[in-house]
Parts: sequence; C-alpha cells; structure tokens
Amino acid sequence: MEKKELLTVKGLEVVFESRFNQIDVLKGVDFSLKENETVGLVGVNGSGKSTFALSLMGLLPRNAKIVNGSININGSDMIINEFEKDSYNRKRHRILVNEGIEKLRGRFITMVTQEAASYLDPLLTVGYQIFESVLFHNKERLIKRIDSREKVDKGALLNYVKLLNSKDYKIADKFLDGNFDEYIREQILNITRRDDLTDEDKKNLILALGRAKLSSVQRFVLSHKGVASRIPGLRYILNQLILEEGYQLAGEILGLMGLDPTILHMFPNQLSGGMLQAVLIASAIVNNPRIIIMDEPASSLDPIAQYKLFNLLSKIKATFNLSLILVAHDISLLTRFADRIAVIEDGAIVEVGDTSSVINNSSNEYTKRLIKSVINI
Amino acid sequence: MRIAAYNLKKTYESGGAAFGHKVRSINDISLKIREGQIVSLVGENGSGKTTLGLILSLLLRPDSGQIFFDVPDWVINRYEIALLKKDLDSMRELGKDYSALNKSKLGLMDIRKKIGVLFQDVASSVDPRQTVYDIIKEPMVVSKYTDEQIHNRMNELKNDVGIDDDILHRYPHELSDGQKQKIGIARALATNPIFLFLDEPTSNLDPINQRIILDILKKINSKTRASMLITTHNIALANYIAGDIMVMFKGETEEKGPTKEVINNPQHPYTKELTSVAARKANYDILYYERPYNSDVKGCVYHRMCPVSFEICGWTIDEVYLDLKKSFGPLDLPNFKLKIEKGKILLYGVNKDQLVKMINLYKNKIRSFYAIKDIKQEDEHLSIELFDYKEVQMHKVGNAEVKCHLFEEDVSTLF
Repeated sequence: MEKKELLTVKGLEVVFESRFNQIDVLKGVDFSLKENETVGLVGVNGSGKSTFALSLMGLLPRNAKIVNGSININGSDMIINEFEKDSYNRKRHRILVNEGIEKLRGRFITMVTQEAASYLDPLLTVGYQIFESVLFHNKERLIKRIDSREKVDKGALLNYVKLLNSKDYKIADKFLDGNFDEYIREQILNITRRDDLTDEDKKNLILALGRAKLSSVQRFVLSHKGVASRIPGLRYILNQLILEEGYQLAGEILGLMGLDPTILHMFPNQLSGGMLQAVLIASAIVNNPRIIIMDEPASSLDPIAQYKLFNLLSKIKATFNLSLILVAHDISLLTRFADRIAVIEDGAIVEVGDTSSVINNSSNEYTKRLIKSVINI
Repeated sequence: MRIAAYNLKKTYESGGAAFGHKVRSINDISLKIREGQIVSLVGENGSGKTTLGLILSLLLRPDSGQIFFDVPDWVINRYEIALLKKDLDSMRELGKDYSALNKSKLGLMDIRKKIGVLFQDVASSVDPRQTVYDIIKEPMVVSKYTDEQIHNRMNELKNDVGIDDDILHRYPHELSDGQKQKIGIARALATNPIFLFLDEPTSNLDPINQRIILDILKKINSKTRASMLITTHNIALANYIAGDIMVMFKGETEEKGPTKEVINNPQHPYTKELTSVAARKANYDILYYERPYNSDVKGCVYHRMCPVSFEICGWTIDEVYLDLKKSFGPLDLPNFKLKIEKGKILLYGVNKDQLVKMINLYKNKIRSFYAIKDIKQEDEHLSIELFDYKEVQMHKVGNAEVKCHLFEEDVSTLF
C-alpha cells in the first residue's frame, strides 16, 4: 500500500535580505515526507538546514523571505502567490505564508529547537512547560479529560480489565473503541502502552481512573464553566483543576517515554542536557502531532546522551505513530535511525535515497566526502 | 614536565537568591602533561572538563591543590615523594618556591604568556568590532612585540593555520564556523605558547571541518612541540588526536592512561559505556539509570548510573527511598506510607513478603535495591537498613589508572 504523503516541498527558494545585499540561502529545495517515516537532512554548517526547518514551520526571521516554491502540509498549501498593484500601479508578485500554518503549528507539526537549555523558562517547572502548549492550543481537552473520568462507567472499566485478564487483546481493543469516549480512551491507552509497569500495576491504574475524586464545589465549577470563569474564587478553583490535570497529562507522557515522573516538579537547572532535550520532546508530542522536526537534536550532547536520545526517539515514534525530520551535520548519527537521507549542499538537495544506498554506494562526491570525514574509533 | 597538578578541588558557590548553594565542579584531580604531549579530557556535559582546563591555564584559582608549570623534574619527583609520605612541611616548602599558584602578579603574567587558550565559543569570546587581523594581533601587542615581529609572526600563523589573506580584514560575524575556529586557534598560538588549552575545538562543526581543525592541531603539535589539553565529549576524536586520555565524570577522574590502551581495553564501566556507544555497539537500555544529579555524592560518583554497581558503591538512604517510592507509587496501595527516620527507611502498609517479592523483581533494573542489608518487621511497619559504603581509590591496571570498586582486593569476590 502506498503511504500517504504528509509534507511536500517543491522548488523552495529563500533569501536573506540585508540593507546592502541579498543572500540566497535555499536555491530550490524539493523534499517530501511520507506517513510514519524518518528522514534525515544532512549538510555542513551553513548549508541551509535550519532555514529549511524554520520555513516549514512558518517561523522564518523577519529579514528572510520566501521567493519561490510551494509547501504543502497535509494537503493544504502553506504558501500563497498573490498579485497586487503597488503605488505606481505596477503589478507586483507577492508571496504570503498562509495563516493556516498557525492552526497546524503546535498541533500537526512541531519542532524541537537546537539548544534545549535556552528554550525552557528557568522560572517555570518542567511539568508546566510540557503541558503549556495544551493550555494555549487546546484548553478544552484538559477539562474534558476531567469530565470524562467523572462520567466514566465503572462497570465498563471492570469489564475491560477482565478482557485484559483473559488476554483477548483484539476483543479488548474493540471493547475500548465501543464503550468509552476519546478522552478516557486516551488515558487508558497511555497506561496500557507503558512498558515499565507490570500487568498487575496497569490494571490497578485503569481501575483507579473510575474512582471520582472531585469535591462538590469542583464538580459545580466544572459543570458551570461559563459562570465560574467570571467569579474570582471559582475561577481560581477551575484554574487549579486545569493545572492539576495538566501535570497529570505531562506525567502520563513522561511515563510513556520511560522517564522518571519525579522530574515534573523540578526546574530546568536541575536537569542534565539529555533530560532537557527529552523534556522538549515531551512538550512537542503532548498535542499528538503527526510530524516532528528536530533541529540538531544531538550536537551539544555527549555520546551516551545522544544514544539515549535516539533510543527514546525511536520508541516514541512507534507509540505515537510519528513522522520525523532529523536535521544534523553528523551523517553517522542518522545511519541507524533514518529511513531516508537527504543531503543538502549550499541550499540545494543534491541526493535523496534510502539510508543504506546513500551510505554505502553514493555517487555524489559531496556525500562521499561527508561520510569519509567522520572520525570513528 | 610542562604541567603537574595535584589534588585540585574547585567548588562554585552561587550568590543572589540561591546564596550559599554549592556545586562541586572538580574533586581531587591530579594530572601531568609532558612536553609535546596531547592529553584529551573526555566526559559528559557538566563533568568539570572546562573548569579543569581553566585552572590548568591559570585563569581560575582552585580551592585547594598545587600546580607546577614548567619546573625542573627534580621538584616534581621530590613533591611526589612528599605526597606519598604525607610530609606536609616539605610539600608546603616546595609549593612556596615553585608553585604557579604562589607566584606574584608579575610572575603570573610571565607564565601566562606561555599559555594559549581557545575558548568554546570563539564568536562570543572575541571583540565583534575588531577585524580578524586585529584579533590575532592583540596578544602580541600585549606581549610588547615590535611591528616587524608582529608582521613576521602573522605570516607564520597564516601558513600554519591556513588562513586566507582575504579573511584578514573581515569581521567575526562574516566568517563561517570553521573559519572562526581557525581564527581562535591562530590567536591562541600568537605568542608561541608552550601549553595550549583547547576547549571543545570541534563540538559544533560538521565532520569535514572537524577533520580539518584536528589536522591543523596535529601539525602544530609536531612542529612546535607545544603540549595540548583538549576537551571533547566525543571519544572517537580523542582517539584520533590525543596520545593520552583522561575520562571524567561529575568532577572526578574515572580512568586515565594511554589512549590506545584505554579505548581498546576500557576498565571502568563508564569508559566501557562511552566506547561501546562511540563504536555503535551498545544495545542495552541505559535510560533507566538517568536521574537528576545531586552534588554531595558518597562513594563512587558513577554508582547511580552504573550497570554493575553493588552494595558498597555509595548508595544513600535518600536514593533507596526515592527508588522504593517510585516502584511502589504506581500501585496505588491503600495506607501505603514511606518515611525516613534516624537513618532508616520505614514502610507502612506493606508486608515483608510483598516487599521482598518487589525487590527481587526489580533488583536487576534498580541497582539501589542491592544496598538493602536487612528488613525488619517492627510493630505496624517495616524498617530497612543499608550497607555501609566504601570510598573509591585509584588502581593501576596496566599503564592506565582506574577509579572503581571492581579492582579492590577484598571486595573483588563480591562481584
């Protein structure tokens, strides 16, 4: 079966403008990303890798401009060609970035930036920064998660656990789809997908979902959100509820990634570089995106942290059904994790192919040089 | 001997809001560098590599310890003998006369002229308003070179490092990353130093530029016989350039010796992990051991992440407490409570069989459970006692030195 293409880029040209001159950074880049695929983007420093990643997100700096080309994310064009008349009544070609990118950014496509430490706020806890993007993009989701736990049918939970006991996973999955709404299903899946718990623990946790723990005031606040958000005392209670739920969601994500949930209430300065990188990844996947762009994820980490990071990436890629774009300058890192490798030289992609064919029998001189100069033990 | 440093210690203390919070950067490190020797410091981010380098290039004062810079060999021999005998008086006397730390301000300036430093981020360590020519010239102006000397030295540097003429009149922001690194090296070499400290010379370069820079450094080393100290977190680069290697973890030396020997036959678990990852052979899941780091560690610094750590490696009550809490937490047991009281962990709401079953289940994953010596049933609760830890010593294995409990005689039967 042909896989669906999530992202297509054709002939993308980007220039950086300064007062005196113009630098062509991308000179016609063609690129595509299929569903559930990892593509590595390799090149030397200054070849335009980061610019390409930023232009996909619609986050180019102000002095950069897209001159030509098209970006298609999940079937919708992100770049609009427009012709308008200027003050001399001449027709002028203008290129705009579609505002639709704002709806996709953070939900459908997310990015993990180059230096983890500098992108986290030192004054906020790690847990808060993980679910912050849910708070901004999809606050309803947190409230609905609480709601769904309140309303869940305890008998159905018990039946589901019994099905798990009998190890009829197909029937259990069907039961899961039929009997629960999507928010409770998400929470159950987050428990069953974890591999650091024993089966017994998982069943206990699933049953614990059914025990309602809200007080009567909290229940009132949830059912009358409109009123509650206008009255100061009640608004406080509502916000507290949402924050607590956010921390729980962040904890679930960390559990899925196999990390220690005790870091939730810590501050960024208490964590190592590799952990910070993992936290950024957690905050990138919390909104269930389909594409993650990782800009130089490993360049500032030591080899062991790099190795752990890529293990983690392949794990979350499987559980969340993700497509990844890995931007790196070290081709040897990608050999294990990328399905395809695209080599970028001086703003143009010179070679694309399966990882093994690019590494082993590349015909391109530049690629050969990149591979040859890697220093190994 | 170019540099000999003994028992260096450095602790950073924060001011402001976190006043009094201490972070141990390096602890009890000794290092000797001969003429023309290249030593590489390998370790993860935050293991104290840069601090050690800055101390050895006399830009930072250690809290305690002794540094001898370019002294006759007999001084070092005598100092080492005194160190073995714990003869504090003669140690102090030798330190007074020869140590670089006890020099006057003028004396220190003389020594510093012989030291070149390449900082981690070249772009942020040079003046953005100076042209490349002025940047390289500055150390020579400070050392009172004449115009003719500057001109000659500049030509030499251009040849050695491989800088094009047209770059010389540009500003730092107009250069590529590889060129910036070359400018940094040229500046460090300007006054003909006999000791060079290079902090992560290749960390944010692509492989092609990495190799170019390393080849330049090799060439310079064979030409001028300058000793070099290179920090890197990539053990493969260390193998490529350095004759000797020192592996650091959380401010302590874990293994040091000739690079070939250390890399081909690593002894310390951390070095084993580093080399297996670099050779892309590692296939075990090490994620589990990663935990936030607390600066006051007892025993071996590596014991928390170590896949072979046992009871005497330095487990503390807090660590076992956290691990117990973590493994019992998800169970959601009624009446479950954990407490630390008088150096013992008290557990409520669990019976002994449950606990023993749990510990046996997780023992291979959570190494801290090995430190549990005894579980006693006291009315209502269980109390847990731990083994005592043991301090680690340096052990000689072949030509290398390793700091690990594995090589101690009386405990080797345990493993």
